Amino acid sequence: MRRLSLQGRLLAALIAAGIVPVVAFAALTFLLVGGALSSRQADDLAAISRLAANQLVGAPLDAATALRLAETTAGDATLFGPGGVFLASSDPDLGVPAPPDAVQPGSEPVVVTRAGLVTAYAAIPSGAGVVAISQPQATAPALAVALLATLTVGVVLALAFGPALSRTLVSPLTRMTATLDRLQAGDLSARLPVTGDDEVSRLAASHNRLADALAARNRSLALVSHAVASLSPRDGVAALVATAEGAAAEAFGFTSVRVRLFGPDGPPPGATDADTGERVPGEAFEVTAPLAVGEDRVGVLVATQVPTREWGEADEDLLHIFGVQLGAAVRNAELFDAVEGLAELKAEFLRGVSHNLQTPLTSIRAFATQLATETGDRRLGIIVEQSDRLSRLVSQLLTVSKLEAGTLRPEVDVFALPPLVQRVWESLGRGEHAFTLRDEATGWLAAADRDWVEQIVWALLDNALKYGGEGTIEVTVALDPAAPTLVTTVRDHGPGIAHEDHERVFERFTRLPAGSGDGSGLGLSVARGLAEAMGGRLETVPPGDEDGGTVFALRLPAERIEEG
Amino acid sequence: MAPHEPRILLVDDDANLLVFLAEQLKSDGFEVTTARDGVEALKRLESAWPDLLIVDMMMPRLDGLSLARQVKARADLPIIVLSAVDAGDSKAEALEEVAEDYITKPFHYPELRARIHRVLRRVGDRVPAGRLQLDPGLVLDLQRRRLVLDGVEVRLTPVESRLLYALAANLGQVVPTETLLARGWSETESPDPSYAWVTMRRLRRKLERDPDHPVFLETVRGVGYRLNRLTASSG
Repeated sequence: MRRLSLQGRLLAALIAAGIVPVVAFAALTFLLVGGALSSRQADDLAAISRLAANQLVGAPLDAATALRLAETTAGDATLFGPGGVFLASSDPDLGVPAPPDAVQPGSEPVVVTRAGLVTAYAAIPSGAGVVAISQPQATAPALAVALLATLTVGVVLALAFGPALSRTLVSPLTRMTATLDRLQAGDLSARLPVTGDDEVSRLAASHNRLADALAARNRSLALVSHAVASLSPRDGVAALVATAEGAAAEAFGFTSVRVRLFGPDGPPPGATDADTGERVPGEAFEVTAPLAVGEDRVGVLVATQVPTREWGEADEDLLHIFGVQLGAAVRNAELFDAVEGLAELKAEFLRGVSHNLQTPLTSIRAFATQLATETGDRRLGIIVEQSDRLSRLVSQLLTVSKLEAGTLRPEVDVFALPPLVQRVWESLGRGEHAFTLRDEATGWLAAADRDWVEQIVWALLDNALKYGGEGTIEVTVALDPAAPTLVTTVRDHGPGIAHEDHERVFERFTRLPAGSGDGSGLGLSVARGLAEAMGGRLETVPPGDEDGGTVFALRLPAERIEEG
Repeated sequence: MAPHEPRILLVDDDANLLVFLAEQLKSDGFEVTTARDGVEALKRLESAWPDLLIVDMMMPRLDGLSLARQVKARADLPIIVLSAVDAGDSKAEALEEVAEDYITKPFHYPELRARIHRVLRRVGDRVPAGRLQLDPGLVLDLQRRRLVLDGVEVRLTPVESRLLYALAANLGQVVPTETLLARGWSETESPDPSYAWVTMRRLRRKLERDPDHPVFLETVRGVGYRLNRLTASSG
């Protein structure tokens, strides 16, 4: 069964409280008053019957006498002869029973109440008989009516004012419920009116304090979240700590905040996550929070709180969360610094390696070239060639590392591709090898980094010479008008590349077949990286006829030649 | 150009290269002094001021970049930096700010010679070393290879900035296409006039507000190009 609402129960209680005493009172009154009434009637009738008996000495005991008695006593009179023999009655229908034996001349009258009829028996002193005076039993009808009326009024009043009264009592609770609902829905401005100093007001005041505390923590939480979100590891540890201290002071209302970092060795010996110290009322107190990443203690936050500020477990928890977040941010910043440092170190190292290798190569090459022109010794040409190769390898390694780091930026220039291809072919010094160059894109220039394109073309031609067998190397420069793009295809007539290896040739340190050739395995990988870094592409394409061989296609942004 | 032979101060810690380059440069008609590191170079500069400084990037005691900064702080001496670092390196940008040009090791001597000539010629052009304002919203900052158009910074390629140097040196006058080719592509064999045409078109996309109706970079058909400065009054 459903429980009645509080208001319903209150109403029921009010009605019960109003009616039960009235009914009880009425019943009690009824009993008391009724009792008193009937005992009085009995006394009166007894006195009357004694008087009547005294008067009847010597009088005839007949109906006329009975009637006369009835008139004077305002009751009914019944006459009995000796031995209880019925003689006469003012109202024979009454059926007054024969007098009890106790009624003898000289005895007190006897009063008998039977079936709403009170009868007093008195013996006639002469012993002529017994007179009985009867009256209907006295009741209190007016009293009953009055009592009933009172009851009715009570019920009506209870029904009429009960709901209003119970509403008055319940309404603060209803308001409280509504306010709590708003609070739960997130409206932290919901407050209860506090009037007077009753229990409800005290409850309201206590609720308002709770709401205030909630709102304050919420504000703290928002500030803390904002502070945490504003912590960027890129700013470095020092800036991070400064930001965090300011944010914590603002969010928690601290008068001073210090963040102490432990450094790589963790907390100093003896340091604990010192709990909030003893708090002396009225004095500023210290709170601490560990800066932790998992099990690691990165540092500790120590703050001073003003004495008036409430500091509860919830605040403690919030500060703890802040500490954890800050710890993570500090750790990130430290790692970020370390990574940046390593990247710079790597760049510095590569610069050093490059410098220390290229500088002697420059001298070797310069003197070998000079000597070659002076003496004509062909061995000097080999020195030049090999020093070029070595220096290309060094620069390839550097390029790979820069492609990885994404720091390469092309210097885009416009130039005609076929002369460049021709020049690179000649620089390879393999004039005896069959080579054709077809220009199908007259009227167009490539827009790309000239040095990079030279490197790519060099790698493609070098590859064709190494793996393409004796067949003709065919280079075609064509236009793909859609982009527009210049497509340079380099084709050899060697064994070709197995389909599944078409992408593998661009992987670093790949030589196909495995272990073959004397290349570094970097050429094609670097070539593709460079092509992509200047908005182009490098891929293998099917030969398109039965002759087989390998075809590389280099796509580069194109510009139409127009004067203007 | 100065009436005497161009004087070059060559600074490199590699003695072999120093000797070789000095010989080559002397045979090409330059007056050459050498130094083994930055500190020595500063000492040389106390006694004689050259027309051009060629300096190696990595040297003991005082490296090329620091030396170039110190020299530039004293006077506008043109500088070519020799380095094993190329354009993709993080130091390249810092280098561009102080050096007129740089050349990557290992280099071929003819290329270095071409660059020396180009830098000396550019100095002869007497372009203001700083920024050149063409209208309230357009500033050329050729030293740093960039321009700023209506607050937006646009990078220039080496060729573009060379062409703009040549045009800016003759502001408001027509520069023949052949001159531009010689300036822009001095180390390229047989540059074609089409290079200049296409590069000018690309340049207009960078510095004109409406590239189809150029106001700064004008074509004089069949002759060459002209760079215009728009004063506030003329528009």
